[in-house]
Amino acid sequence: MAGNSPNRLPRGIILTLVIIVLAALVYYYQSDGKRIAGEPIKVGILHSLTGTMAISEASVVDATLLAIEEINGRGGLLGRNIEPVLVDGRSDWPTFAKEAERLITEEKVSVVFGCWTSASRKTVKPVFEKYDHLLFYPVQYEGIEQSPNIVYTGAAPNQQIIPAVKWCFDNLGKRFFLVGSDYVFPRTANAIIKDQVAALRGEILGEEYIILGSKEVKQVVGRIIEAEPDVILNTINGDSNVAFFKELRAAGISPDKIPTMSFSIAEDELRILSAENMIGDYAAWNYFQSIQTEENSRFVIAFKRRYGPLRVTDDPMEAAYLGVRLWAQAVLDAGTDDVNTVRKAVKKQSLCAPEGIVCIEAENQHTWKTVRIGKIMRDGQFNIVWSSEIPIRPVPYPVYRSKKEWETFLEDLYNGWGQSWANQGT
Amino acid sequence: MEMPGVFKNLNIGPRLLISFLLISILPLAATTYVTYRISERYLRNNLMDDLLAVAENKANQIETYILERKRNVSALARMPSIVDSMEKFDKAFKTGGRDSREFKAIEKMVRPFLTSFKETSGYYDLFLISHSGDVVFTLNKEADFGTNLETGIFRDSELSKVFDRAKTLMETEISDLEYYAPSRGPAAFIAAPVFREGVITGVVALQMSNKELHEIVNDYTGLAETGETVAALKVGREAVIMTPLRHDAEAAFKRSIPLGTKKFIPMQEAVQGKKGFGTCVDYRGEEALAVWEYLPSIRWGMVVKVDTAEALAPITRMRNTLSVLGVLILFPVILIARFVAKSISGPIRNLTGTTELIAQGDLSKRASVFSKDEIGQLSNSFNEMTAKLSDSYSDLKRSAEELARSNLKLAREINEHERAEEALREAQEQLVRREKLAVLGQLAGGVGHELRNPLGVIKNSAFFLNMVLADAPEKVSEHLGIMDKQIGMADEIITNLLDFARVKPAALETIPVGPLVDRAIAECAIPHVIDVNIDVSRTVGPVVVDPSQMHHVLLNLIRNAVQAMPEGGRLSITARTGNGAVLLSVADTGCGIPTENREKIFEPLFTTKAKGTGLGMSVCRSLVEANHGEISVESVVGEGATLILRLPSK
Repeated sequence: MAGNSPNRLPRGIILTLVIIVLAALVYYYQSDGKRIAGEPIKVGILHSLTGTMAISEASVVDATLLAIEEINGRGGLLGRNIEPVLVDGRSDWPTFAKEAERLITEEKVSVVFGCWTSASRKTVKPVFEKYDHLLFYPVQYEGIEQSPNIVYTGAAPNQQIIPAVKWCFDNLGKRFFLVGSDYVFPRTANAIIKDQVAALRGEILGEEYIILGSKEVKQVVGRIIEAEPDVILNTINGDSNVAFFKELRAAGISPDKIPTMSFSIAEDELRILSAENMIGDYAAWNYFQSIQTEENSRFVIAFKRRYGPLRVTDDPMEAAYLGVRLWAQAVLDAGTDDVNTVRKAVKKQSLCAPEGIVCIEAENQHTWKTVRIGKIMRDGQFNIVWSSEIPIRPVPYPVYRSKKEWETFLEDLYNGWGQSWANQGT
Repeated sequence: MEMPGVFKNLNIGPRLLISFLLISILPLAATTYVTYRISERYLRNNLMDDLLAVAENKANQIETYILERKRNVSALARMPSIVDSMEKFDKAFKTGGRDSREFKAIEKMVRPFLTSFKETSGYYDLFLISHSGDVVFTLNKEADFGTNLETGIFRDSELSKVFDRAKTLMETEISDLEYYAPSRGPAAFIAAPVFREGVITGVVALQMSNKELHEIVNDYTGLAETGETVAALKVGREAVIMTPLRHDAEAAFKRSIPLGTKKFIPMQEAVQGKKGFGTCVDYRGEEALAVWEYLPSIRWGMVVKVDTAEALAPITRMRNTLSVLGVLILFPVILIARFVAKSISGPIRNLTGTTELIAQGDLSKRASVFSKDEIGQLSNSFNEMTAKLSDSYSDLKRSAEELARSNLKLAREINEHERAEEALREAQEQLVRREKLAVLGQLAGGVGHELRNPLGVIKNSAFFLNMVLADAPEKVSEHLGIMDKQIGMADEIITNLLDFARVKPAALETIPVGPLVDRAIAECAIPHVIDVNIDVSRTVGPVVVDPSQMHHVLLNLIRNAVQAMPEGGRLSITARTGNGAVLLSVADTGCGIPTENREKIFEPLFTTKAKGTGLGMSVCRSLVEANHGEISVESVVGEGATLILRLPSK
């Protein structure tokens, strides 16, 4: 009967009207910036889950995932869920590069959170630059790098190395012994330290390197005993630290005799390294679990609730956590997860992180961070002995040498190691 | 979709009005609303973009200013005279103190340069601080001069903090803007390490004048009448306003926003490192569009905002204009709707009125045609229909009349037909009667004939006896008389029977009526109690009958009449001319004949008399009919009877 009676509107017309009205509404709200929940936003997590770096990196993965879960728990981003794609770099730099490329080209992720060692970062950097993609790098490093495709949420040298050395110089002594893993970070860090110590009229009594992951530390410890420095500046990474400190203590060198200032040992490493042996040693970071702020206690509680009460938080974990949040903020500002738009939006992002206020420096995509020096306590936590109290502007290129000089220095390292960012030990 | 009942039941007028309003106002309202919303969003977005641009510009200005200040101080720190003075002042301070001759000599030498630097660069004060934290020289020589920043009374001051950072970080650092006791006011410091051959020998610090920062912050370009930039620093659980406000010139360091409350949330977020934009309620309680961010170089939270009321004034104006326009449009729409509704419903109502009149039977009414549209066409069609209806009605009426006439004719025909049938039936009855009479005649003839001979013999014998016995006893004579009499009666009966049986063909003659009547009267012995009245008009013409037969008939009729009046009465015989015949009636004043017997009297063997044979009248009829006449009877019971003969006349 419908459509025949003059008192009835034909169903077709009603349907058309309804469709038009709906289309108008959808158009209106679409253009209003309210998006209908769609596909999840894929993000890559690229860390070593196996190999010598797994000791440090696995926890960074946990912190990254925590940040993602928290965002998803609040309804995701732009009404979309964040879907992490976790891949294992296996503490092997070519693997990092291969996986990075796979994440970008195959998984089509919107961003990658990852890398710990500078060797892995330097290997994946050309990949991110080639695809004009985006990497959030969460670890303090040696600086002398700046890529439009990398956001550095860890410390630049002026936010860790330089203040730490100066603090040691002012408070512990002027005679330094440098030990590190034989790859790009310790080598470069020590180059900076040497410049600084020279400027300060201090003394470098020795400089020793061990292959990354190696347990051959006897010789190095022997040299330290011989040199009798005021301070050991330690840039050893990964589980070599276990062997190093065991050997050091075995040789009778305790922190009260020769204190060590470490640049890659945080709370998470202390769980494994046995804090007992290290009470009184120092570390320079932007974040310690012991920081007394509302944001930090929220972070620590959330982390322990998620991963267990025995777990601890530390600087790279916090940097990874805030990295995800900065990225999420940029996505919200940009209104899209499009890599290039987000890359622009991420500059000048700031937030109140567990360590305090952090802010991306538009000029170099490093992060304004508060500098802190902590002393290891019995419980594996740090007692903060010095703090800049305010976030410090990141300066990736230390002022002692020109940019060109630094780049030549790095190039020489790379070539010296046979087109690699680490001594392969051959 | 079924129309809502209420709507469906409305008259066309209101329905059209509602439809018109829906059609015109609804899309208009929807379009206006959407336009308004889009414009508002567009304007808001534009305003936000403007505000974001202003904020970015402002942030850059402050950043640049800070950077420029830091470079300025860094440059100063590298000046050989500063490097020299640093060492000299440090040495003089440590050896002789601030009042020693050496100290004053150095001061005299460098003060003009330092003063001129301070003045030209717009600083408030200049400090030289030794590596160990001694304030070895200041231009203004306030209370801080000569104290140690690591151990002295000002060890918690911003100057002390910035000195420590500059020394440890080996970079030029800027302090927060906070109250500084020696200057009795808010102060910020820029400190740069002083190197001699790479070794830090001390720190040079400059106390900033707030004027320039205030100027940057309080530059309201692009912020309209109510817009402003608010800068605050997080101090403890408060965001302390750093510069005078547009709406509160005394706000700097006096006004603060407690964190964790609902007050001026953008500022709370900004000082805690969060950036954002949106609508907010500002420190005055006014709604404002705001953009906020954290300025890391000076650690300020900055909010750039403009009152919503002012910012959205164009939109408010637009909304008001649209509202007024909407109301203004409403009136013509209602008027036009009413007009159109009337132009449609008017003719329809007119047509309805006409229809009602026609329904009441007035087919001559016609609807007025106002237009050539559908309703005009409808009126036309209606009129055509009515005309046709009227024609049809007339035709129908004519047909009905014709039909009535036909009916009447038909009724008449049926009547005639019935009468014919009646006649036919009578003829049939007559035929049957004749048949019956014929049979009866034969029988009577037979019987009469057979009886006459023996009766003649008896009569002869009786006559003989009478003669023979002329003087016989009286008794015998008497019986002989009775015998003779009875024989005469029997003979008469037989004669009658034979007459009846043998009606002879009439020997027609033309004779006058009078003599015929007279002869019959004469032959009858009429008792004297009966008056005889004979009325035969002279004008009555002669009749064509058998005189003998007619005489017999008359005789019979007169005798019957006389017999009907045993008590006496009047016998009337009348003759009249009528319709080509002569009507001869014999009337008595006897007891009359009952209706049921009136026809039967002509049937044979019917009699009311005790001694009648019942043949008399029957014979009369046969005779009259044989003479081409008719016989009938009229009677009123108790008054008498009249027998009427209708005889053919010449």
